[in-house]
Amino acid sequence: MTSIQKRSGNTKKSVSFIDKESSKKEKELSIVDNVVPSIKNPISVIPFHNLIIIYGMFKFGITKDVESIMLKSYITSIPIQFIYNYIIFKHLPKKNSTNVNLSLLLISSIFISLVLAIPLHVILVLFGAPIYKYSVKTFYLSLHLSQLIFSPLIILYTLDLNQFTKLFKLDNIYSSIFTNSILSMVLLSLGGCWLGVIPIPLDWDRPWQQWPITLLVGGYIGGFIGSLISLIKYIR
Amino acid sequence: MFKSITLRWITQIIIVLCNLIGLVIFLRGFFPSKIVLPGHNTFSNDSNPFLYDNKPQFDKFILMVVDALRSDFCFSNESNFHFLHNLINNGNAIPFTAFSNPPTVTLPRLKGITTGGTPNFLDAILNVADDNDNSQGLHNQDSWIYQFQTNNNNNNNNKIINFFGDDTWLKLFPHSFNEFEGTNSFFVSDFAEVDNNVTRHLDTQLLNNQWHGLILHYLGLDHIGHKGGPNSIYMKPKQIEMDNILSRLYSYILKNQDTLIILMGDHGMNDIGNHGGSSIGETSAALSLISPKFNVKQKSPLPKNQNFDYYHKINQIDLVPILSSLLNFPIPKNSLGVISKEVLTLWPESQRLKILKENSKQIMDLYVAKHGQTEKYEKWTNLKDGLDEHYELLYEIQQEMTTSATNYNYHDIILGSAILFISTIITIITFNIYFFNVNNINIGLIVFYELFVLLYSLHFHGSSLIEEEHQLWYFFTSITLLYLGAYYFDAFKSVQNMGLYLVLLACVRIIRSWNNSGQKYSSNFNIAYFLTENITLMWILIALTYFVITLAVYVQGGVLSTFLYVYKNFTDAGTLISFICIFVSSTISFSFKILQSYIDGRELPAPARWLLIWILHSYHIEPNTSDIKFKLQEISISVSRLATGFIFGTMFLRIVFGTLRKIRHGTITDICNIITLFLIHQTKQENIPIFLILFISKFIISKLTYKKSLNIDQYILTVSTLILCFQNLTFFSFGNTNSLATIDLSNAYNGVESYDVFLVGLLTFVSNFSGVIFWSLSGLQLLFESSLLRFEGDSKYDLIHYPSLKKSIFWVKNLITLFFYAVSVVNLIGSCINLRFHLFIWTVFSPKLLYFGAWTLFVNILVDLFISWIIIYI
Repeated sequence: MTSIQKRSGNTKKSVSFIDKESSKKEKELSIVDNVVPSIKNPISVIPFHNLIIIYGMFKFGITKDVESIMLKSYITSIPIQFIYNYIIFKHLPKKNSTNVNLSLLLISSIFISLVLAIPLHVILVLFGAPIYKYSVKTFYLSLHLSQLIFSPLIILYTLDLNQFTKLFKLDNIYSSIFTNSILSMVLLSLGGCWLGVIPIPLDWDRPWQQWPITLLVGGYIGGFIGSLISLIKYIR
Repeated sequence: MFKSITLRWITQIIIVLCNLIGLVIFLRGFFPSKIVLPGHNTFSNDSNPFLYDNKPQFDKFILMVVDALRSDFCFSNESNFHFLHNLINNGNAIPFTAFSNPPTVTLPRLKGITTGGTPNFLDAILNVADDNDNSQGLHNQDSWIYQFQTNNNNNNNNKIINFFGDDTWLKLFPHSFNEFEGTNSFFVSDFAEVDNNVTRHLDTQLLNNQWHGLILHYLGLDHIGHKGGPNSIYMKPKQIEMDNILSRLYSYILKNQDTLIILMGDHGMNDIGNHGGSSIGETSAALSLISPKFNVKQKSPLPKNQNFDYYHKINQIDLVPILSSLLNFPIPKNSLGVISKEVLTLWPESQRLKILKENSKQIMDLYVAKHGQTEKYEKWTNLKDGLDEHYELLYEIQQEMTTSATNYNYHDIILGSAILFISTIITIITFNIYFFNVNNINIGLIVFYELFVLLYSLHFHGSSLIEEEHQLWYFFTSITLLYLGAYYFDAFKSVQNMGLYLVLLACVRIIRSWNNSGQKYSSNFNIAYFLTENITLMWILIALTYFVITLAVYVQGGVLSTFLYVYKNFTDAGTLISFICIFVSSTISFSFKILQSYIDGRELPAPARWLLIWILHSYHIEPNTSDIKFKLQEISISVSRLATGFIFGTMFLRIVFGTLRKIRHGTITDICNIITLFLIHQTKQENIPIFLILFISKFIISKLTYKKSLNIDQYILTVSTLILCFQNLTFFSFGNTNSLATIDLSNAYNGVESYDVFLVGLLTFVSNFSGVIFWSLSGLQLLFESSLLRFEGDSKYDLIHYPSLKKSIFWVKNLITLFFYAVSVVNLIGSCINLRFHLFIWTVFSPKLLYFGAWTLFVNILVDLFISWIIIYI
């Protein structure tokens, strides 16, 4: 219990500028709103294109030629992601989206996620991706994954890293992640990719059990499911 | 639950014992002794179907068994059996690829080859653990050895069989051989002597001609496989040697045309030269029937292929009826063999069906005895008189009866699982009551650990998950590290912690890619393979590992203060003595490793060769003499004994002086470090540098848990979880799997002169579980003296300073591991009971049961409880 209490102590300190007279609940809400930019119409940012990309990859025979299809689908997914990022941007709250150079943000979202694929590759290797033989495939995976993860985050936070780090100081980090469609999409993309590795060692000997197809599918589908999960709060 | 710690301990020990007893009872029921038909077979009617022109095809036989002779060693274009190839091309040899039923270990295979039955799985363990054990004798079971000796048409004397080679035969047939000499099959580092001991008898045997059967069992090729794999540099000369012996035997039978030669392997070997499992390489043994009377021309050698597809693939036990027919005696009662088509062509057309009918009559008798008069029996009685129809039915029945499981002893299985189930329930209750009543502990951590154990134990229900268990452990280790990184290590709080954490992840990654494990993927892209290709780098790393561990022994714990001796001018005498003890023991151990590599025929880098020559000189041996290998064997034994003696001597001195001078702090660290030296001594060369990585990981864990030890229960739970993960991860990274094939015997004879079941068993355990033992001891170090691991000296955060808590700390630690083993064992036996008729029960689940038994008995009880107890209370 101690560690939890300590963390909540920190949070209080960092948000002490908030009006002390407002009730506790409102305070928490405003903290979350400050830290996590909310999405105006979450249904319109559901990444249906994830499913299309996965379908397309299997349609064009990823099980036969993993590397070239992964590269081609990555290139194809760039304009799709570009449009998707634009849609996200359009659904950001006003105060976040003003004073931002839209075209620069969109282009940088693609490029930064391209660059971040390299450290992501290192992390994938640290978490067990093969090094020697499958390096190229792993790199393509990190390209895909980095686009799934980083480019929506860049748009959501409009390149404000400080704002993003505040997320980790939140008390109720999981509920704030799972109520935000972009954040829950990103988290479940990661989680889906992580869980995607499970079928590989099974002895079914199917072509889709190759490295890294299941991880790729896990990542894309995970993202889709993640954004659906964030809709639950509206059902309530 | 109860406040008194003594009472807690008593309950705990009772639960541990119940766990063990339950598992033993379960195993007894799961591997029951097999039911075989008693008595000996006779011909089904008086007219003997095997005679050819009123006399047997052959009167005498020479059976030449070459241990682990895989079919491609004989028949592929890379084979060196050139004489055999000529025989096949001339039609004088009938070659087969013979499927040897798993477990592919010599004892069960020999039972199969002689009786024609499928052996019990327990035979595989008996093969490793046998010593003066007469329970395996086959004197009550029908075999072709018995039939050959007693079926004598001319006079009443038994026929004479002489035997030379692997003494497993002598255990199976203690009274059957006239002249014999056995060699022990367990001394795997000897390639030449075992075979010379067999061959030297040939001169007299082939000359005096005083026998009807001659059995030769050569072991050298198997030893080469165990040591260097199928591509070892010794393989070619050994194959040529075997081929030359064959050619000698053939020139003998040219003069004695009534003699049949059988050249065969008892099993094959896998890609790294081990056997015991069920991979295609292990089950594909060579088999050739050789006589100048044969004329079945086939092409040889054949192109090498991955499926070991050479000539007609038959079952190895088919040899039994083949011998019966060729040498003319009744087929042994429990045989499931079928006479192959090629052999049948040796008789004229009219006789063939009669022979096959004799074969099918014998198999059907066995079938009816086991299954009753079922549909198959009806089918057989109404079978048309055609060869093809008979073959179809025979192979169908053979398939059914060889793969069907043995009769389980359900009484023992139920009793054993009931005991296990109850003790597990008690463990779970104790665990939960204890941990959910602890104040000041992160509930998330408890839930995480319980989920982790639950998820792990569920994997027992999938056969491929058991085969690929190393993947699972890598997955769990990284999840655990991620979880602890976020919630316990504060990895994301400071740059230093982040750096350490990343290095720890990198260490885990390196450990993981050290060796191949599992059955599915095997590649050369791993560190161990890379090191065997780059020997200079390997020996630099080995030397570095020795150096670091030795230095750690010297400075990390309390060695310096223990041996500190101040008396006038001799201030440093004690330090000097301890320095000499420690450095000498690690140097001798290092020299032993060099010597061992040389004996195994591995290359050595130049500086290591100088050291080798120096060792040889100090034993007054010239490096380039001819009979050097035999002498080297003796030297290696004495060097290994010396190293072991020094290591344990140092430990003994340290403990004695420490006790006398009442030095508490540092004892655990010292013992752990000194034992680590011994563990390195018992490890394969290419795996030694792993200890360097393990040492770094241990250091980082101690850094990351700095100042956290005072929240005791949380600390114990964290450390125990980490240790469990690292133990298993390291176990598989050393190249171990859940198959009996990867049990490494290359270090099981260090310093052992003759086979001794206890000593060799112990060394086998240590050399296969060295990483696991390392982590068990490291767990104690982390718990009690983690400041010493950080090279910090005494610290008030070390739990060793709370002697009154020792008992309860140790109890909690054992409760946590017991929880893990108990939940796992219940799932494992559940899955074994559930899948007892599954196809993989003998190849996947049974070895896993045995491995799990080893984990429970040796790791959880012997090391984690017994030895740890001694270390803590010394």
